[in-house]
Amino acid sequence: MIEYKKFILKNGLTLLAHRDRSSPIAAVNMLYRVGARDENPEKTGFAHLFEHLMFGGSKNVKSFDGELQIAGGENNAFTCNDYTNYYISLPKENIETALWAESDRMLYPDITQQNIDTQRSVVIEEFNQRYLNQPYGDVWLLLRPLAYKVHPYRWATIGKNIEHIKNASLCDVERFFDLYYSPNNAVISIVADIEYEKIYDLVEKWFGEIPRRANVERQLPAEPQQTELRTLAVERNVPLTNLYKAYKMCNRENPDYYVCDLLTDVLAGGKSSRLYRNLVKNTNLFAGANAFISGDIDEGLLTVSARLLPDVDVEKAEAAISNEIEKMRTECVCEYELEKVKNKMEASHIYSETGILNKAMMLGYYEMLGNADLINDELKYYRSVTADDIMRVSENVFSNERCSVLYYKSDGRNNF
Amino acid sequence: MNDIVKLNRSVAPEIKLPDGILLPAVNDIRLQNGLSLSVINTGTADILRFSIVFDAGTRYQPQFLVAASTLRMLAEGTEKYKSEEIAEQIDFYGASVDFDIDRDWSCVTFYSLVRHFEKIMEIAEQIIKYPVFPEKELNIYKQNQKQQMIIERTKVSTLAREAFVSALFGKNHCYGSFAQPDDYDRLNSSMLSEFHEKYYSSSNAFIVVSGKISEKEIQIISDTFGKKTWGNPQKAEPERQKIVTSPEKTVYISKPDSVQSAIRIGKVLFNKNHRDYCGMFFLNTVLGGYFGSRLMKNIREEKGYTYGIYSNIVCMRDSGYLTISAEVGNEYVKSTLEEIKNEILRLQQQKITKDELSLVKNYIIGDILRSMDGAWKIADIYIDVRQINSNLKHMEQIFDEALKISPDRILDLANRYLDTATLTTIIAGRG
Repeated sequence: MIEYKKFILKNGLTLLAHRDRSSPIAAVNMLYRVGARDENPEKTGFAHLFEHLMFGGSKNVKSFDGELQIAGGENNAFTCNDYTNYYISLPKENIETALWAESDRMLYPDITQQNIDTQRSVVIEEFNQRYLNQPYGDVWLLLRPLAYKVHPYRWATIGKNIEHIKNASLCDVERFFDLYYSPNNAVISIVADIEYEKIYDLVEKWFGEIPRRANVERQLPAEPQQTELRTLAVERNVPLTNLYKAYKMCNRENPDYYVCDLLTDVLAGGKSSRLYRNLVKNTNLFAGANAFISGDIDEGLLTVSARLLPDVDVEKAEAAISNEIEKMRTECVCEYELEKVKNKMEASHIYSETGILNKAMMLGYYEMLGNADLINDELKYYRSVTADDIMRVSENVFSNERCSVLYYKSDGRNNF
Repeated sequence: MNDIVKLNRSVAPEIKLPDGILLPAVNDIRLQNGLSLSVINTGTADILRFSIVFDAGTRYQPQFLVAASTLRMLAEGTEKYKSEEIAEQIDFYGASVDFDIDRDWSCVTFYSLVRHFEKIMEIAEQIIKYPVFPEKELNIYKQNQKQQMIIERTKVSTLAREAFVSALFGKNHCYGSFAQPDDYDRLNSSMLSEFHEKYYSSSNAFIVVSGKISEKEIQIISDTFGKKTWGNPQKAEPERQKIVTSPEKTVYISKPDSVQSAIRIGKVLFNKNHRDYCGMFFLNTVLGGYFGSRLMKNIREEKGYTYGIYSNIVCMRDSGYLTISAEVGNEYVKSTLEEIKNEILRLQQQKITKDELSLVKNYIIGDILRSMDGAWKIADIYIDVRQINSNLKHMEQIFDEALKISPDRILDLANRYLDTATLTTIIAGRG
């Protein structure tokens, strides 16, 4: 249970504050409601590049990182398809340094051409390091455009290809900032051993005068209902063949979201899960197997993946996976199994409440979803899922017409 | 927009930093059988973490992979429970278990809800004292781990890391050797049983618990692990091996299809008990130990050659080393190596400015505070310092050194330890 207070400033900035008396550190999290899904299809990867540029300094804070480091702080950020999240932790005495720096870049970011040139190069190296130079690193660059044809989830946050990043211009940067980096499109969440009124006063002091801007009008193209099984086979210089079956699932608001989350735990949550026990341990076909949901705001993906042992016949492996999926559709999970995944969910929720930075991020995330109360209420929704729900949603989700399959094959070069 | 804004933003808010750290209280208890139990009570939520650390790292193994496999197979069958039963119970009670191993130590960690702790300790006892290493489970483990290792070894970073330690310590040294995938084929159940019997005992371990802990939990631990001595009564005696650094100062490992190359540069230093450790920790932070470091600023933020470049001081029980690591575009390898060298020379030739000195001091102070945020992190730190026969006072030493270190001392350390002629360079990639 996390107690918190919520305030909305006149300019529309939402503030969530939670007092944690156990830590000498303050966490300041700033979430902007903008992600890769808001990008122009011809300029993908931009939200993420922009995140890099936000560290280039602002009118009064020449070095964002430097000012925070002098204050004993550390900061970083990440970009997802739905939102962009900046976070700072520092000794609580210096919380104003964080608010000063964070508000200054909301007001007057100072993004130069040189800045863009360097960060473009950094992001290209990031692309290489994380997506191209890792075994299986490009899986989602392949799966997303297979599963989505219209909706912007069809590209990854890093972008469709390097060319898009290479072409980013100062003009794009200014436009993006004006559209999305406004107080009324942001959520700031603060966890510290500081009184609520004091937190409010400080946030009001540093952010209160930032003018509200036009609200974001988001009209994303809806993904049309998928009506056919899609498959893609690629060969790569990797040791083992991987198989991915990505099924369309509901959006984050739909109560069935919780059912999907639990049903992937039945399949793959821990070593007692079905895929591990039945497939990895008992068939001699797989080196590993997994099932997970993407957790997106709009309609997401429920993916079942497996890593095949060398020389295993792909059809045989796929049949074994389909068999497990079929059981989800046709047989009720027993009460014990359901109780187990709920217990696990509850425990991992409680474990995640240690550490102030985690809590600040979670508050911001749930507020972005629509209501920070979810941080405390969500367990109830998980608890209320029934065995019938699991079967009903399984039946619905696990349909070949809404499935995209990626066969990521070893090219057999075996030079390992 | 200037007219709208009334607040004077051009002056940075005042900064205050603590001149000391408030160390979390650790209650050290000697259990009846002599086993040491350290209790760190930080309880806000109803959860706790139990870690038991053994002198059972890879340095003690008679052949490759025995130590890690013994540890990772502990939960795959015991005298009382089958592998599936253990997995089932751990999942059902919302617990989780981690197995960690390095060259010197192995560690089993349970995360548990307070209300299920007794049950989890019953499983922990089985896993730690009575594992049976069933052949069937071992075969699955060997098969899957071998494949995992084959995949790991397709990464340039893995190849560089392996070649690096081997060049620094010698490929037969316990800190420089590394296994090959085929080594999995040579494992059998009795090797693991033997290793377990020799090293997993009450006289070769210590326990650290953190989170919400009352007398009841302490009693449960004491009843489970602290009454009679269990296992081999002899404490492990680490053998001191001679370090043989390769005379070859630059090693290329070819991986023709790679997009980037992994670079490792460094040398053998010392462990955390060395009188210059705290100073070198500071120097390393300046060079590449944080996001604002000289290497990061120069090679990422100015040149854009890499997504990230870091330096680290890695310490083991009997030694340690400096490592500078980055993955860079193939075309940037040469320039990156030059810039790394330039940054080291700069440390040796020019005194650090007051501004940079105080920035790094403040950053380190903040970082020490951050490193003790929450029960899990404090336990990690405490285990670390216990392994060098110290306690949380060690964190105070780093803190104090950071407060008092001078530009002259940094210059002196850079000249004493970072002579570029003594550094080993590894490049894995298309090169």
